[in-house]
Amino acid sequence: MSLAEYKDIFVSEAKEYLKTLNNCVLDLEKDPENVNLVEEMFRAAHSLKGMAGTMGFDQIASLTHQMESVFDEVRNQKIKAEKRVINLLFESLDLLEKLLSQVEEGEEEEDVSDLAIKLGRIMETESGEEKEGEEGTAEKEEEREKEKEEIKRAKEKGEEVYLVTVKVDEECLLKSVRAYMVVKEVRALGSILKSIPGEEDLEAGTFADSFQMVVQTSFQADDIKSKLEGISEIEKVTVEAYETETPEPSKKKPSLLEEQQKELLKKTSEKIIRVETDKLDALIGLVGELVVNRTRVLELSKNIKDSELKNSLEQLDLITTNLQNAVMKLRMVPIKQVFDRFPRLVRDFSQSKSKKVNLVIEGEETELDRSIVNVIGEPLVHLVRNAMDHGIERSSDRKHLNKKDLATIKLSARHEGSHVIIEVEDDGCGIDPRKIKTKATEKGLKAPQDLEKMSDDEIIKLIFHNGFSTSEEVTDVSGRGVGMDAVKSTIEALHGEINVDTRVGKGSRFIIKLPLTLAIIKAMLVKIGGDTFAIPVESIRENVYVSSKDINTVQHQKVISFREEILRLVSLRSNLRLGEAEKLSENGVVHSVIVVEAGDRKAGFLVDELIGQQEIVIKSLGKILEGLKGIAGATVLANGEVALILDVSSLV
Amino acid sequence: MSKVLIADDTAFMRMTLKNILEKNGYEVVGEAEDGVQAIEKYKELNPSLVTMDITMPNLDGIAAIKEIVKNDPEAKIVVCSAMGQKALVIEALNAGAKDFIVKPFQPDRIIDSLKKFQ
Repeated sequence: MSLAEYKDIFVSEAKEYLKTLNNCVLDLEKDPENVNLVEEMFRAAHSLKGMAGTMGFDQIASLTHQMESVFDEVRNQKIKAEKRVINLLFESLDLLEKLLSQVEEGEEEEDVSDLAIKLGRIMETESGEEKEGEEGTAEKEEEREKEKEEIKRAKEKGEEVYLVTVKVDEECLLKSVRAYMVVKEVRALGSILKSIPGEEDLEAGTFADSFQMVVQTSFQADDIKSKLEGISEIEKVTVEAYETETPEPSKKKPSLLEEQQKELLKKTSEKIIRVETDKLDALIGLVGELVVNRTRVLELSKNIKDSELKNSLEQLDLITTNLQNAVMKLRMVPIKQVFDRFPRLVRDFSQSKSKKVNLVIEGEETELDRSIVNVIGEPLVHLVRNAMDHGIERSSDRKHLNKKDLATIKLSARHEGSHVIIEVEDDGCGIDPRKIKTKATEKGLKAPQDLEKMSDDEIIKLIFHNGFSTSEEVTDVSGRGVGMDAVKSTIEALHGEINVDTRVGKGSRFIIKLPLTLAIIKAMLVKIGGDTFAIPVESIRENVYVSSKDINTVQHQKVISFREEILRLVSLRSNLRLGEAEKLSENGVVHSVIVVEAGDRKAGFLVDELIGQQEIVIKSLGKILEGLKGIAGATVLANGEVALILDVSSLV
Repeated sequence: MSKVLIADDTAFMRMTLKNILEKNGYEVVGEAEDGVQAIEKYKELNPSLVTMDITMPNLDGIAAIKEIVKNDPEAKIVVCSAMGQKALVIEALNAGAKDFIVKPFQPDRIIDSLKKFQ
C-alpha cells in the first residue's frame, strides 16, 4: 500500500492541528504567560512534523520543526511570546495552510526556507539580546560600562565615537550589498563598535531602509558623511556624537528600526483587515440569495396596488442593488497581479532571441473577479509568448521591412459595461490567411473547396482549432501550436470570448472579453422533463418557436433553417437523460427553441417551457458531482427549488 | 567626456547599456564579449570607466577585475549583476570593483552610479 492513500487522512488531520495551533496562538497573544498553551502548541507542531516527515512532505516538516523549536524556547522561557514572535507564528501558520493545500492538490510544496530562517533568527536575537527583563539589567549595565570605557580610551587616543545612521534608497535592489559597501568603507575609516541591526542582519539585508552603526574613528564627522554619501543608492547619512549616558533601560528610546516597523504595522493594520475567504464567500452567497429574493418579492408586489408598499420596496430594491455592488467589489482584485509577470517574461525572451521587444502595459489597475484572475494568467502568457515568437519578426527582418528595430507588445485591460476587455497587441507580421489556408489543408482541418468559400476572417479563426501552428520553426517558447484552442476553451469556460484582429505586415490584436464576475449571473429559467434548468443569458442569442413542419433531418441530425443558416437542434432531454426525446416529427406541435452560442458554434436547445429571466447565484456542485457533462453548477431559486445550470459550451 | 569600456557577453545588454550611456554623454570606446577581451581592451584603450558583467565565457568578470586592478589599481570598474547574485557582487567588490548596478537596467541608476567617478 502506498503512502499516497493516506494523503487524505493526513490532510484532514493536519488541518485539525493547524486549527489548534491557530487558536492557541490567538490565545497566547492575549495571555503570553500561559504555559499550558505553549505545551499544547509544542505537541501539535511535533505531531505535525512527524506526520509530514513520514509522508515525505519535507517543507511542512522543516517549517514545523522550526516552529517546534520556537515553542520549546518559549516553554523554557528563553524567549517571550511578544508581538514579533506571534506575528511570525501566524505567518508560519498561513504558509502551512498554503503548503497543505498544495499537498492536497498534488502540487509541489513551495520553499519555506525564508520563513524558517526568520524563525531561527528570532530565537537567536531573543535569547541573546533581549534578556533585559529580569536578569538582563545587570548585563546591560555591564555592557554600558564597557562602552563608556571604550569611548574614554578612544578619546585618550584622540579619536571620536559617532553614531552613524545610513538610509538606503528604498528602491535599491541589493540592499545587503550596499550595506556591505558602507561597512567596508567605514572599516577603512575606523572601527565599528556596534551596529543596529546586527551585522548578520545587515548582511542578509533584513533591515527596513536604515541602519545604524557606532563607529570609533580619527576622522571628522563630515569626512565620514561625505565618504558614505559617495556610495551609490545611499540616500542619507547622518553622523552625530554618540552618548551612552542618556538611555535608561526602562526609558530606552526605541531604535529607529523598531519605530519604522511599528509605523508600518500601524499603517497596514488600519487599512486592511484579514478575512478568511470562506467567510467572504459565505457573505457573497447570502447577498446573492438576497438579490434573488428581492427579485421575487418585486414580482409578487406587482399585483398589489399599495403605494406605501411600492415605495418601500423600491427603497429595498435600491439598497439591495448597492449592497450587491459593494459585496461584489470585495471579490474584485486588480489585474496587476497577472500583468506583473510579463515584464520579466518579455525581458527574458528578448535576451534569449534576437528580437527586441518593448512591453507596454495599460490599465493594470482594472479590477475583476478573483476567480477569473486566478485562471486568466495562463492564456495570457500563451498569447504573449505567441506574439513574441510568431508575431514579432527577427530584428534583421524588421529592418528589411522598414519597421522600427524595437518591437512593441501591448497588454491592456479596461472595463466596458459589465465586461472586462483584455487585449494583447503586437506590431509584428500579423496572421496571413494564405498561410493559414495552406496549413489547414496540410493538417486536413478543412477540405480545400470549403476553404475557398470561407472569408478571411473565418480562415483566421481556424488558428483556434486543435493543433495549429504556422510558425515555420518549432521553438521552446511557444511550442508547436498547442494552446490556441486551449486558450479559447479556458476563456469560454469563464463565459468569455476571444477574437482576433490582424493585418498582414502590421500586427495582430487578440481581444478577450470577460464578465466582471462569475458569482451572480443573469439566467433564463426553463423547464425540461419536469425539472427547472438555468441557461446563462450571456450565451443566449434568441428564443424562437418552431413548428414540427419546419424541422428537417440532415445526416441524421434534426435541423431548422434559422436566419438563413442551418441550425442544429439539441434535445436536452436525451442529452441529459431526462426521459423520452421530443417527438419532433409529430404534426402540428410547436416547440420552444433557445438559440445559444458558444464561441462561434451555435445550436438550438429544445426546451419544454420558458419560465423567465432571473439573477442567480452560482454554486459549485461539490467534489462528487464535479465534471458532470453538460452541467456547470447549481443554484437555489427564490422558491427554494434547486435548479441546475447548463454548461452551454459542452452541449453545443 | 568619459570613455567607457563595456564588457558583457550578450549583444543585447551591450547595446542597451551603450544606448543609455551615449544618451547621457558618455563615449563608449570599446566592447568586450568576455573577460579575456576585457583585459586586452582595457590595456589597449585605457578607458576611464568599465562596466563589467559577472558571468561571461572564457574568463568571468571577477577574474577580469582582479587582473585589471593588478595592473591599474586606480581602475574604475562597475559590476553589472543580475538579481540574486549577492555573493558574486561582494566578491567582485572585494576584487576591486568600485560599485555595482543591477539588471534589468534602470538608466538613472546607472548614470547616478557612474557620475560618482567623475
